[in-house]
Amino acid sequence: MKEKLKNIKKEKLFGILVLLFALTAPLFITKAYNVHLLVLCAIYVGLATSMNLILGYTGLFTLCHAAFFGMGAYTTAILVGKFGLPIWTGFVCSGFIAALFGLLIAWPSLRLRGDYLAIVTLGFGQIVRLIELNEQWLTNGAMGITAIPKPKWFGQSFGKVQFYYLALVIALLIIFIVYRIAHTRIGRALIAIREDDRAAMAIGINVRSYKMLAFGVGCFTAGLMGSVYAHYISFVAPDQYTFQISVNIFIMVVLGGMGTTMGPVIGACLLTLLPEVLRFIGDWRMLIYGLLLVVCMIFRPQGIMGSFQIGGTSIWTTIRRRIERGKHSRKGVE
Amino acid sequence: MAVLLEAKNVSKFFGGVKALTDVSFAVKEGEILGMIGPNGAGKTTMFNCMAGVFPPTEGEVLMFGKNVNALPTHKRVEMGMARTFQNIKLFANCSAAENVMAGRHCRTKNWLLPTIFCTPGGRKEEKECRESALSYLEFVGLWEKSSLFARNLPYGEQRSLEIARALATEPKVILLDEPAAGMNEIEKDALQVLVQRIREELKITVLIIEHDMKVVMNLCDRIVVLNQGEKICEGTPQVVRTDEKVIEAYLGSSQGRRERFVKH
Repeated sequence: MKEKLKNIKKEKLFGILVLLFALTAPLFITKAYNVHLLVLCAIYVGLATSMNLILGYTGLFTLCHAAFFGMGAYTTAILVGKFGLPIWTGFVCSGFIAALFGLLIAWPSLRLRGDYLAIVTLGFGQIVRLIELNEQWLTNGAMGITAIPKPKWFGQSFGKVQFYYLALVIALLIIFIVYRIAHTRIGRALIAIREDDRAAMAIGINVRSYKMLAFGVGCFTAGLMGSVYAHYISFVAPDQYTFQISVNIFIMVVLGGMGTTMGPVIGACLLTLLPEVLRFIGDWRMLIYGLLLVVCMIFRPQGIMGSFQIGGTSIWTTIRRRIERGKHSRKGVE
Repeated sequence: MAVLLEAKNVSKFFGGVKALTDVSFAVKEGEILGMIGPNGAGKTTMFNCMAGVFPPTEGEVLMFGKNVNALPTHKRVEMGMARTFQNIKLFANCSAAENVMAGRHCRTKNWLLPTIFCTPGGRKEEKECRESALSYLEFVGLWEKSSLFARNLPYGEQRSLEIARALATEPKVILLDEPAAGMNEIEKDALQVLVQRIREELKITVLIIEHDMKVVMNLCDRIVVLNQGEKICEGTPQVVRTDEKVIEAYLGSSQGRRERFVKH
């Protein structure tokens, strides 16, 4: 109990520190490109957290999160960019359209488990991309939709820093929603389904509808983030929401730690920034990036932050133990 | 005595395999009914039919006099039936308390909005949920271990935890699938006491599958014996113990072994 309490406290403390850093970051990060990276981080934090509800808490292996992200972006592009509706309408509609299609695909496919579900959702992701590519009357095909208006703030269009705070607020909202869901009655039902769905049924949990719920909320929040992204880069095209992005989001959750609050946050920041940090090695960049992922998964299969709910000990304890073990073995040599 | 759970001419075929043929029996309110039979007799299949894992091929399952063939498991749990599994199915990466709190699911009703906005009602229910979960843990003697991960508990306590989780759904009838399997003598005695307390203190009817004859003969008011998917005997432990067909099913027809069995 004490161990667990301590872990939770550390996780909270760590979360507050990250939040403080996130809030003050634009004060000392001023280079335009770096601010752009911050915006991307915030967006991916939101996406990874919404994926965490589906993958981490409910245990559904889906590979089409970018499709819902893209759906949100396209909805905003079409409603606001093409038809000139108010921005907040586009924002809300993006969430609902993504959730609607999410539930539509979830209805037949959530009968499947594990890898079968992964394959079905992979196919769905491709279908969405092909529709975006080929239905020219709606999506303008490969050309994409351009000139999506930016939100205004006291008569001025949003700059990068304002967009950063917008994305941050939405990301925090998503984290808050997922945290609240995961730590109360609904979350217990979702975790029960992840741990053992037959036992979940046997204690009166409607497995199907709770899977749908997790999927719906996950898609809704991904759609919201898509809307923010569309406004931010003011341009949507099919090649922005490919399978590769889905896999990235998937890795962020797994690497950070499935079923934890801070895991996806750390995973998202790390995977967004790592390729940039490694830029100095030039062509070797992606090789090193891949190698780091492999090493990380070998030494911490439960993810960087993984320990609070899913097996194993926390990263702090692991490091401490490693050090202690090192000391002991050195003593042994002496 | 009212009949809580009833199987009427239940048959279950898996392709060409006849797992159950024309089995009928009733679970009466307030009793402990045992179900025994050699391996592969169809006991767990019967349980699964009653719990709603799959519907019977023929015949019907009645709960409180209502045909529940078409009802899924979670609906039956809401009506008042709980079960445990032959191979323990706990939520391994959750604490003992969280396991039992998950069991409170169908008796609580917090939905999305109270969850997200931490309304006072939602918080109150959450607190009540935790308290009642702890009281169920206390009932099975796991109160001090409420914060341990389920997978870190020893085998016998995992069994108790699974029973506590089933009890948390406030059932009227509980189905226990081989609760004493793999237990030592001391744990078996504790389990017998627990099952009796479930009936006496919580007024819950018990249907129990068990291989351990000592446990079955001590606990049960009546026993149903299955062999190769058919019911071959039903009655008090005395009747079952001396029944020709039962002895043959378990021991074949050797005279010496029979005498030892009857003496037991």
